[in-house]
Amino acid sequence: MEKHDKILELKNVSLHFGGLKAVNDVSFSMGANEILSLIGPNGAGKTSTFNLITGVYTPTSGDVLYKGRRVNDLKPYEITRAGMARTFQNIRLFKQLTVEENIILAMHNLRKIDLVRSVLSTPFYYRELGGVKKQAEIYLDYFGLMEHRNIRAENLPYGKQRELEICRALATGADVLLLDEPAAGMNPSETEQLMVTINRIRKELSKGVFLIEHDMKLVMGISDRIVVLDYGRKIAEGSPEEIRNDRRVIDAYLGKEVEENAEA
Amino acid sequence: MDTVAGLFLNDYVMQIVTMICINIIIVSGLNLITGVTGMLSLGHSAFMSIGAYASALLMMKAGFPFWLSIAGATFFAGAAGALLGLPILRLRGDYLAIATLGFCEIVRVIFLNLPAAGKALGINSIPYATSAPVAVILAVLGLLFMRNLERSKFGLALRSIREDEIAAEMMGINVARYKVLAFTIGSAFAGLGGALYAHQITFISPNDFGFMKSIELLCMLVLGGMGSLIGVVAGTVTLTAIPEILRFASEYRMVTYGTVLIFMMVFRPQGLFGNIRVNV
Repeated sequence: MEKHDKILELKNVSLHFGGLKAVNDVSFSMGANEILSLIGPNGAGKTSTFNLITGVYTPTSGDVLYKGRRVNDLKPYEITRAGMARTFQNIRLFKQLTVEENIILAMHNLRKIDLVRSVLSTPFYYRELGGVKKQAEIYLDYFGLMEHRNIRAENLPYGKQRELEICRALATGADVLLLDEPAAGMNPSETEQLMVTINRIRKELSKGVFLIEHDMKLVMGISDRIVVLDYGRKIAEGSPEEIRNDRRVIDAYLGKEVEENAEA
Repeated sequence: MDTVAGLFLNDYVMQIVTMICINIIIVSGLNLITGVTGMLSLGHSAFMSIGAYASALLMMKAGFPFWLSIAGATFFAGAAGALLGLPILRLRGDYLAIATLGFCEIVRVIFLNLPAAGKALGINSIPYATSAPVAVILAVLGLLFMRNLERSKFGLALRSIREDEIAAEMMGINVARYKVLAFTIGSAFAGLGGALYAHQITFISPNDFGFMKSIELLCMLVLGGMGSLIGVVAGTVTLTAIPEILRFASEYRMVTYGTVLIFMMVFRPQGLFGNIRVNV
C-alpha cells in the first residue's frame, strides 16, 4: 500500500491511566476506502482506541495521523471538522430534536450563515436554510428515513435510531466513519440491513469505515481487514480468513465465545 | 372622582404591564441559558443588578442619555456573563448551579460595600424613563431576537448541547464556545431588564437582586415551560400578575405562589407551554 493511501494511521500509540495501560503500543493503518474492524474481548481497549482517534483522550505516547497530519492534540470537534465522525456504543442522538434537525445539526460546520443574518432573518437566511434542508433530504432519503423526518429522534424504532446515528455522522461531511458497535442490540434482520448499508457507504459514497463490533457474522462478512486487541495490545491483524485461523485470536477472543455459547 | 380613580387604575395597570415586559426580557435571557442550552443558572439576578447599577450610574454620574445608558448596561452585563462563563461553564448540572449561586452572592456583597453604588442604601432618585410603550417595544424586539436565534444554526447547536453535550462535540460543535455565547447573550438580556427596572422603580438596593430574585425568575420560566418563548410570556405574566391580584390577601400571597408551583411540578412538570424535558 502506498503511503498516501493511508487515511488514518496509528504509530506506537499508548494510553495509560495511572498504572493501567488501556492501550499499549498499538500501530495500524487504514486505507481511504477500506472497511476495517477492531475486535477483542471486553476491556481490550477498543473504545479507548476510538476515543484516542476522536480526540476524547490524548495519547500518552505515540502519534495519531489523519491524512498524514498529526491529530493527537485536536479536540473532538476539530477532529470532526478534519473529516472523521463517529457513532456511539450507546446511542447518543439528540432525542428531543426531530430526525431532520439531527442531520442539519451535523452539517453545522458546512453551513455559511452568520449570527447577525440569522437573527435578522434576511432573505439569505431562508435561502441558506432551503439549501441545507435539501441536502439533509438527500441524506435522509439515502437511509430511508424521509417519512420519519419530522418526528423526534427518540420516537424512532431502535434499528432506525442506529441508522440515523450513522446518517448523522455522514452528514458532517466526514471521509472516515467510526462506528462503535453499530449492531449492538439489533435483531438478525436489522443486522443484515446494517451490513448492506455499510457496504453501500463504502462503495457508493467512497468512505472509509472503521468499526468496533462483537457480531462475528457482520465482522467477517464485510471487513477488508481486522485488527485484534487484547489487554490493550494488538495481537493480530489481517484478512477475516487469517484472523479466523489465528491461534492467539482464538485463545484470546473467538475461542472464549464458543465456550460461552456452550455454557449457555 | 371617577376620572381620578380611572387615572389611578390606568397608571397602576400600566405599571404592571411595564413590570411584566421587563420580566419577559429577563426571563427570556434565562430561557436561553437554562431552557435552550440546559445550563442551570441560579445567578441570573446578579446580571440584572449589574445592568441596573450600570445604567443608573451611567445616567446619573456620567450624564448618558437613557438609551445609551441601557445599551451600556446591556453590554456590561453581557461582558460580566462572558467573564464568568469562561471559567465556570465547564461545570455541569448542580455544580454549575452552585457556582452561579456563589457569583450571585458575590455581586450582591460587592454592591453592598461599594461606595459609588450607595452601599446598603442603594441608589435613589434614578431618573424615571421606562414608560410602558418603551418596555413593550423592547420586550417584543427581545422575543423576536430570541425566536430567530433559537431557530438558526446557532440555536440548533445550543439545543443539541442541551440534548447531549458529548454527541454535540462529536458532531463538530465547539461546545465551550457556544455555552459562553448563550451565557453572554442571556446575561445581556438580564442586564437590559435590570436597567429598565432601575428606570421604572427609580430606586435600587443590593437586596432587590438577591438569591431569591434568581429563584423567582427561575419559577417564572419553569411555570411557563422551559425552552418555550410562549411559556416565558405565560409564566412571567402569571407570576407577575398573581401577587398583584392577590394583594387583598397579602398574607397568603407566597402560600398561593408556592401551591401553584407544587401543583405544576406534580401534574405538568414541563410547564404550561413547554414540550421538552430539560435535564440539567
